[in-house]
Amino acid sequence: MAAGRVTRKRVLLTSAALAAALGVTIAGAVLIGSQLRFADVIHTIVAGRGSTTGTSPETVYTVVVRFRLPRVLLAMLTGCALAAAGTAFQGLLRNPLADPYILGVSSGAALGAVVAMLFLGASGQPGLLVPLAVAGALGAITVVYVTSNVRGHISRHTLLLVGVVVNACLGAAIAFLTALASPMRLTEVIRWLMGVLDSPFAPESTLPVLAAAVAVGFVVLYLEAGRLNLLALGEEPASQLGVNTERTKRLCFLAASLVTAATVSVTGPIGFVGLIVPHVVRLIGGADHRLLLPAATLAGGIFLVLCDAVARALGNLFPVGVLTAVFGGPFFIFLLKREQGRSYFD
Amino acid sequence: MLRACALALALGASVAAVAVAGATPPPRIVSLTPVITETLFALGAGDQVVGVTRFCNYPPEAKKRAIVGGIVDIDVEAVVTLRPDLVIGEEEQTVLHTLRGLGLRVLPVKCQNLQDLFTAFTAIGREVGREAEAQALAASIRGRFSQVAEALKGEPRRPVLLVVGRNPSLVAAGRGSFLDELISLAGATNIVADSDQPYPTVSMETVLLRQPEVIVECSGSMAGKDLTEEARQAWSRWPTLAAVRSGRVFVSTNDTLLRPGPRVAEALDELVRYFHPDVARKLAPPTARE
Repeated sequence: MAAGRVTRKRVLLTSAALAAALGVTIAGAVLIGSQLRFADVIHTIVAGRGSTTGTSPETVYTVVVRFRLPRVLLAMLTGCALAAAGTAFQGLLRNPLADPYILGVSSGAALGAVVAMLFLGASGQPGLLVPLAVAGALGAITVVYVTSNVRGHISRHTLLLVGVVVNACLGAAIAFLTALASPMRLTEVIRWLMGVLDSPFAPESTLPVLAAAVAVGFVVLYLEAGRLNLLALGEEPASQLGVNTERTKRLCFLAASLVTAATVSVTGPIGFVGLIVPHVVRLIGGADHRLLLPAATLAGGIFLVLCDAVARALGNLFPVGVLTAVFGGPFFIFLLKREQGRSYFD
Repeated sequence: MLRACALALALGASVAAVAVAGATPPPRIVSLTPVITETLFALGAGDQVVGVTRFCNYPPEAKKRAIVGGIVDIDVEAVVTLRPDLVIGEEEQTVLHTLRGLGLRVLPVKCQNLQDLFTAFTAIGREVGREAEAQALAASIRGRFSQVAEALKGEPRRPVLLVVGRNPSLVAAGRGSFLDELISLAGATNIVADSDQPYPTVSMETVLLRQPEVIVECSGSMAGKDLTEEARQAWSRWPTLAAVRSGRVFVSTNDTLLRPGPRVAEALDELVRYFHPDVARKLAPPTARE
């Protein structure tokens, strides 16, 4: 069904439709929360009138514009980034289990973040968490890249193996550090490791930086999308068709890793988005990266904004990473079943 | 009669104060931990408390306040919509940064050991206009401490162990925790007083080697189930332990042993009952505070 020809028009139309849906989702999401009735927010913010229940306009403004809006935008950026990076890693590694965290980027970021949380203190230097997480993520990327680069050639198997080993080592380091933590810190660490969109360590000023990083990474990946398709045929056929496979692999690895590093340093590793969203979009729209990449990116934004809206409506009880798995998993299984397990992946 | 007059005067004064102040509403306080909630109520500021955590179960009156989440999962929206004039939290709660960023007045306090606690009383008292009450509270707690110290003079200091968690491994009260200080005040020696953190994980080997004569399991009231049997059975597997042989393994469901708060003297009394039952029987009941 979906395997129809991917034309520029189809890509544009699909992207426009998904972008519109993303806009509507964002608008809806800022109206939802644990407090303040829907009507109240509309009344105060949209109509510019006082609230119907006596909540002062200042309070409504604080909750909606200063608390919810930045968080919703962060959810959007994070969802987009993770889905884009997941799509790229699945294509690059030709492995359906690949997700943005498979090559150790998130563990590197997590190690940096855990060091900041445990040793620099919440009340001390909260501003150091994001920089340390970025440093950890970049460190992990460097180790994986340098190790798997053998005489100018990167083998996807080596990449995967090195990534898994780096993940395991960094995970052990994190486990070691958490064993030294006080109970309250430990809970903060565990919550961060599940992914948080309300990290007090990430001020709103990180949003534009994150947006820029995600945009640059996306553009690089999108320019490589056609070549990523050919890479799916195998490296040799791709080179015979004129693809500089090493360059494509390198660019995709770096762009996807940097996008992941930027988001995971702000939010912690939010699971499932980068794994499931590309698969769902592939099931619906086919495996052509020229369509898959923009569609999955926008769908990732929609998905995470929705999951976060539910998390906020439930009063912050569950980290958003729990909800992405709860909603994403069954939906994916339903789709897979409906498609009769159609082989959509090489 | 005198009391009634004083009350009437105070009421009149406060009405006048409100009338004069006019624009400034009485402080609305949100408390982000059970210890802070207990402190606010103990200082007589309970009426100003408009929001608490779902773990704030004491005094019972506190349970009637709006709930703003747990301790690590505070719902920012719930706090903001309560329009608090003041939010008091433990300094380790990172949500304080977010709340401050939203323009709320935030007082971070620390409640790890007894000195922290007395400092927190003073800080909270100053902030909510109850400095005299804070001083009185600290004085009454210190008073009970010295009464107990007096009664314990010349008593042997037994080696003891306070367990604050047992799954998956034993977590004990160690150096730097208020419980370690209470052990000393209750006339005993903590077998893990040399720990490098306040609540260290302790191996069974350490316990067997250091032979505590009394073991207290502090399970609190919120464990979700009664851990008494579980703890007793777990310890009965080690009959070589002096505490087990002599039947001095106690399980306490009192939250006071898990909360360094205004009821810390009650926690001390309880420990004295476990460590020195004879002294506890002779010890005068604590003098009621005004």
